[in-house]
Amino acid sequence: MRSELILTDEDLRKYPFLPSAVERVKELGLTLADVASSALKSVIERAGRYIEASIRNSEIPPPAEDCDEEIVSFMVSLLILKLIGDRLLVRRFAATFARRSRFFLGGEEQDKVLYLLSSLGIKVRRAGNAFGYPLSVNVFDYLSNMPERRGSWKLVHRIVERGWVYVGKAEAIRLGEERLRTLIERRVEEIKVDGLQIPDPLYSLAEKLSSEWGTYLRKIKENWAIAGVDDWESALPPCVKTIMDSVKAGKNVPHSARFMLASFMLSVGLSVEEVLEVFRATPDFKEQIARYQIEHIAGLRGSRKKYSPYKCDNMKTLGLCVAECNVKHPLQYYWKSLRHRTTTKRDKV
Amino acid sequence: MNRGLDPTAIGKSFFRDYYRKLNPEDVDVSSFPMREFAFSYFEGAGMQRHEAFRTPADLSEHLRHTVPRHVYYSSAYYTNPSAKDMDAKGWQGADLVFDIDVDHVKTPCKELHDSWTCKKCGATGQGTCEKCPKCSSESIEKEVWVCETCINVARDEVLKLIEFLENDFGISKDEMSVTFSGHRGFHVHVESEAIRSLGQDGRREIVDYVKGLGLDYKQILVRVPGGFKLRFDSSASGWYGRIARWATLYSSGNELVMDLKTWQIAIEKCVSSEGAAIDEKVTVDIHRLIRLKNSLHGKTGLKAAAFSIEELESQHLLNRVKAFKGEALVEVKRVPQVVLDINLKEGRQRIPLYAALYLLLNGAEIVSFQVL
Repeated sequence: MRSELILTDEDLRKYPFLPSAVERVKELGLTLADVASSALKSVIERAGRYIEASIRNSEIPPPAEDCDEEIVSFMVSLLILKLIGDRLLVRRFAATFARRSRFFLGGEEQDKVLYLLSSLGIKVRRAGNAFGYPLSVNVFDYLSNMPERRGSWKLVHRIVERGWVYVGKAEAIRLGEERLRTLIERRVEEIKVDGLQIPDPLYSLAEKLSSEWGTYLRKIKENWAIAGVDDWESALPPCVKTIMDSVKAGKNVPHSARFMLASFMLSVGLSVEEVLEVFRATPDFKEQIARYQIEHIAGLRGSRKKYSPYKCDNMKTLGLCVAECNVKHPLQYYWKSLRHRTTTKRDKV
Repeated sequence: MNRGLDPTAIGKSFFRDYYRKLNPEDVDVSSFPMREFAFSYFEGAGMQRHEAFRTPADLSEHLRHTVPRHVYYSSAYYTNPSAKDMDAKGWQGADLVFDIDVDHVKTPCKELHDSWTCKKCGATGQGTCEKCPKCSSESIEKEVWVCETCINVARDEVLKLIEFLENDFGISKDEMSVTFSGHRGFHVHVESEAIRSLGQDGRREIVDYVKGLGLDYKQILVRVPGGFKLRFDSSASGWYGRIARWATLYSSGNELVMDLKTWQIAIEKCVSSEGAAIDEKVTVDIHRLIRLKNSLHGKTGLKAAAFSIEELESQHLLNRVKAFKGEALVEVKRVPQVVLDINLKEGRQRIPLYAALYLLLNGAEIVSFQVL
């Protein structure tokens, strides 16, 4: 238990998600009714502020002065998120909360960073400044938590040795942030609310936040709905354009490219019929089969899952990327060029 | 084809013999009850999926009974492997699987046994072809065969991959198993707790790594007086060390300082020589169905035998995958010059049974077929 000694109340205040923080609250023996009582009003208010901050995409406020208050507020936040039940909001919260933790981690000594990352389940060890790196991280933990798959993060650009990747302290912390994000999402997912007696103040807070989130989402959608997209083809990213041209020219394109084209067109709002028309030019076109496949991708058949088009990383791996567009997802390119077009149109008026 | 010759019936009768003698432990895989199994049969197209078995004995009983043409199992572990709906299966993780197939690799032997026909203009030729040289159509029908050279080329790619898995990813040989794919290559399976839960993105990154995809010289080189050098010296593991070794072929001095163009050539050469030619789709797919070890491939009649890494380095890999002993007297139209380890000629000839079955199952135009 020696390692436990280095965690102080101050640490648990900053990192209320740690296993020892959860243990500590268990020992307090609090019930949900206690949390909702007026004595602990500040806990609910704080949880509300945390979630509000993530709805507005702003920073999560600093932790409570009192360590227990912070830990319980964090746990109540997760419960409220579960009650609201929107995965996007959970992701938003996890990301903003993890960002706050990264900020604290940045100020810690290396040994404490090592300890905290290990508590999050990342295998990390000292590297003794080999090649200028203080730490190394297990390669599979690196792969599961790397924030992006390009540039200096890309594994081909790293020193990888018998299962370990050399990293700087800030990089290790960044991996920890990603890991924390996943852990928070998982924790919310695992909460079981069935059979729980949810006190009224908690319910009404969840309702209030849920409607606030709904308003936010509606606003986003309105911004995205762009009227008068007639020549949508000219907004296509180069990779999709290339596939489209090949298909129209009657070339035999690989399955992955067909999937990309179909899923992309469906994602930007074209109908199954319209997509089918494009594929009519393929040399091995069989309407029945093609329709079945397109409907499958559209989520109208089989698992009823709507498939998203590949992101840029996947396109690169599949050899379908043809240009460097500085986006992470081909859809991003499409929306950007449409947005650009509408603003320039508006400028002219 | 002579009258009364039914390739399906002949093939199935030999497969029946084979599965009758197969032991349950031959088809055992880890976490057996958590795997999905799938079969396709000699009769009719399509695949029967979402099967699960309690024990290997139940599976081998099923094989004896139904005599499938192809047998697959999931690289994934499920709480409910026989559920029809993917979401209801309850994915618990998946082995990391690599597929190495010489279809994707240039080999000198393809001229000897492969041929193609353009579906648009009817042009034909030997070897492989992606685009018709006559009419530029990409609608090409290919006839492919496998020979000993193909298998050896595939084996070399497997050894490259194993080097990456061991030296870079720290995976021990005990955690890896290699099986013959039944056709033109091998499957490498990695079973390890650390990998099971790895998602598609992580697996894709492993693909890029072992293929050397996405290597950007701006990331790995730094500017120094007189040119560029690697960010880390040649003692660094990973691609740095590999590239440094290749760069010595292009550099005159000891310091490995070269201009950008020479670096690009050296990096390209290094990647094309050291990268492992794997099929990315298989590795990235966390719900993949893979041929079951020791089952027969329905188009070759060859056994998906398991190889230890030492065995892979030996000669005559094909001997391990031949499932049938004996000989046959066959006559084939448009005969490939070489299949497996047998040179063929025109006209009726006496050849080993495994080769005769291969010709039969892979759709050669058989004039006569007689088991001796």
